[in-house]
Amino acid sequence: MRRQIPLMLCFIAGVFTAVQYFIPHPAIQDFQERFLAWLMTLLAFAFLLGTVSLIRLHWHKIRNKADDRGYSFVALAGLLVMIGFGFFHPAHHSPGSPFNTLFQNVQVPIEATMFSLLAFYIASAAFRAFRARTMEATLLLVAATIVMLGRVPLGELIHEQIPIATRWILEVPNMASKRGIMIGVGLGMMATALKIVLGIERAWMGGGD
Amino acid sequence: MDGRSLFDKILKIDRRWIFLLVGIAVVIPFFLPLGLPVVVTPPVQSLFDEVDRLPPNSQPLLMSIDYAPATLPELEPMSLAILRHAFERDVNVAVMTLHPAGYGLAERALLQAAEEYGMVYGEDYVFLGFQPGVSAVILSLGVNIRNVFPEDAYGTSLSQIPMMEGIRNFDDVPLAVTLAGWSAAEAWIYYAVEPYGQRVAAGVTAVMATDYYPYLGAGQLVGLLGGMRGAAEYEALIEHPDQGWRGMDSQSIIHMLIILLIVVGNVAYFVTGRKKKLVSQG
Amino acid sequence: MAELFWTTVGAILTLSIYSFLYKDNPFYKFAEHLVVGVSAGYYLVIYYWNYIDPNVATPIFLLRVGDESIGFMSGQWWMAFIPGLLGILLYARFFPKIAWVGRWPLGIYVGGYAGLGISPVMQARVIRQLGANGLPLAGVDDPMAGMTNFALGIVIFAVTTYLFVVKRSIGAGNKIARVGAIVLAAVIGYAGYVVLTLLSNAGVVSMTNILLVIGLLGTLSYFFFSMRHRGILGGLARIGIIFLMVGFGASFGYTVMSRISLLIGRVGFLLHDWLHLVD
Repeated sequence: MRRQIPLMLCFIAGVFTAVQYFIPHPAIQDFQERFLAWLMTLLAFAFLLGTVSLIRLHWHKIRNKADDRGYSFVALAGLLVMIGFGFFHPAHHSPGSPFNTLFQNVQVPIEATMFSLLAFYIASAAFRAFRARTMEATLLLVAATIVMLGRVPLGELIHEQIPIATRWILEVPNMASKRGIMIGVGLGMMATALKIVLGIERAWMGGGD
Repeated sequence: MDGRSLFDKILKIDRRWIFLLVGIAVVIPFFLPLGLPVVVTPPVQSLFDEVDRLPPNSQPLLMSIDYAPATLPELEPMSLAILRHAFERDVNVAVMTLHPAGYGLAERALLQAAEEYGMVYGEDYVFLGFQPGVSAVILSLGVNIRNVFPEDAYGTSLSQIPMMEGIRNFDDVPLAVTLAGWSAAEAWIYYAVEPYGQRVAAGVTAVMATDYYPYLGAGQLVGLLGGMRGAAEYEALIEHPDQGWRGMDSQSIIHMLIILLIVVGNVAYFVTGRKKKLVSQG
Repeated sequence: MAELFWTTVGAILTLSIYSFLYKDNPFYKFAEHLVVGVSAGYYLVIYYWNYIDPNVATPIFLLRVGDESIGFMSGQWWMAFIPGLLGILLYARFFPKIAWVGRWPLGIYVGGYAGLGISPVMQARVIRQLGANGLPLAGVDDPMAGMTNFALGIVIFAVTTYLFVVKRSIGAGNKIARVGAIVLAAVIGYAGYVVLTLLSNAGVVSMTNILLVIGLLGTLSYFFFSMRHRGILGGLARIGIIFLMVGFGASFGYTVMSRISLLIGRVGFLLHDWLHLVD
């Protein structure tokens, strides 16, 4: 029963949301609207599972006196400060509030910078790893070079045909191949969704009883 | 046999020297701008034309600003450019977000553009805020916007916001634009374009842009901006150069650098590979 | 003053992250852990005030939906209470003895979202894409004909060179003959370009549309693993690889552009917003 009931709920929910597109009856559409609101609520609570997991992880590090527990203090302090300003400061909504200020001046710079590190690594990878060893790899590199040149003003200055070649690459071979991938992935997504709804795919339930 | 040849040394260079090269290449154009013109491509022109056709002071342009700080440099210039274009033409704008981090970023872009053009909250623009659920949110918007956003982000009922009077669902939204660095743009296609026939345009990161050409080609998107280049093109169209256009100089230099690194790396690889082959053949 | 202070804070955190490029260090680790905590707190607050408070907490505990009062245990109250309770039950997974209870709301959530996507995905990714690729192969304008025919001319040259030099080993041991074979291949390639251009201008064929159809068939053939890639299927799969490589090359070029843009944004922040060294 511990596994049957969730599978049954999954099946009922899945069949309803799949079939409701084809039943324009007002009662069904009305229930659909309410059910969508339920799904949004569940997603909101599910998202916060991550926060709870985070707290547990760092709390365990602190309690078990792990070597890098100092950083766990930093993480939990950041979390508590944001919660404090977000819940207990009267003007947490307003753009100039401490809550928003910390977001704009702590979270935004750090997150943006972390992803910008990739620029350096892609340059390093371009030098060390991108080798035209085979015909396919050579094709890839040639296409990449034309696109990189065509999408910057300097490339447009080098030769007027470069942007045209870039546009051709994007709208012909790229579109054809990405369309093929899209169709294949779309069929796979549908198959996976059906497997989940029909209870064939049960990984979401996790292990145990 | 002698030690390492030049090409061997080049191949084994510490990657931090490459990092330094990249850093220098990106900084120099800030001080020595090239100021090259940007050529507009059809997908960007298409979005510009769509916004240009929107009636002023009427049904709103719905912007779903769904990016996070990680993709801010690519997508914020786009959102500012589109907002400026809309405000320049007195088109009402309703902004929402499907990403929690988008709340702060959408508000920041919206308030900045609104202040530049002296727009009045509630009459010219409204910030609806964030709702979780992506697909559920978009589907619900197609039925009734108030099902999802009964109030704006600041707690004011939509019925008290003048520009939202008579705006019930997608039938009253001539164009929706999604700006996202994740699959939100696809969600708009699945749950707004297909079921409701809503006209949707997308601004995505350059990483994702090539994957959206099939949607553009099939007419499921009415316009597409890809990365900072897309923002630069839009800024050129509205004749308001900003971060996107300024970034093109550094982009040009670094692209040349990367191409040079690929060429040098391959030349060094093949030269040292041939040398090793000759040596092994005696 | 406050703005300068906070901009400096942002700049210091930015430089702390960039210090990782030299090597891992405490400044980087500090910033990394700080953003983990701050972002988790931010998301929690946003989720609560934007959704949970108006849709769950306020109706259940304050008996209010928007400006309207609702009755305790009324229909609207239950519409808030049931999903709220299911949401709380998700957290049962943290208690081993009752973890199984958490599967109930998870089943509704997983099944609901899975079912929601079946039709739209089929429609948007499969049916519409197949429809969009059902293109007329002749008798239509082909605005990209110039570049398509040029690319095909290069393909003809490359294939002819391969056939002459590699397959037939023309000019093996004779450099002049080899060069001659390559020149001949170039002439054939150019002749192919001219012929295709004439056909395109006359509207007899739309080579771009033909390429799009062949490219799609080739890509789908490459990913079809139920049969061996031999004969026609093998040939189509080979063509598919070529299209895929060009597509991935385009993606790589755009990926480089994307990553560089992120760096440009941060450098712009440091030079313009913090140091005011540039306009």
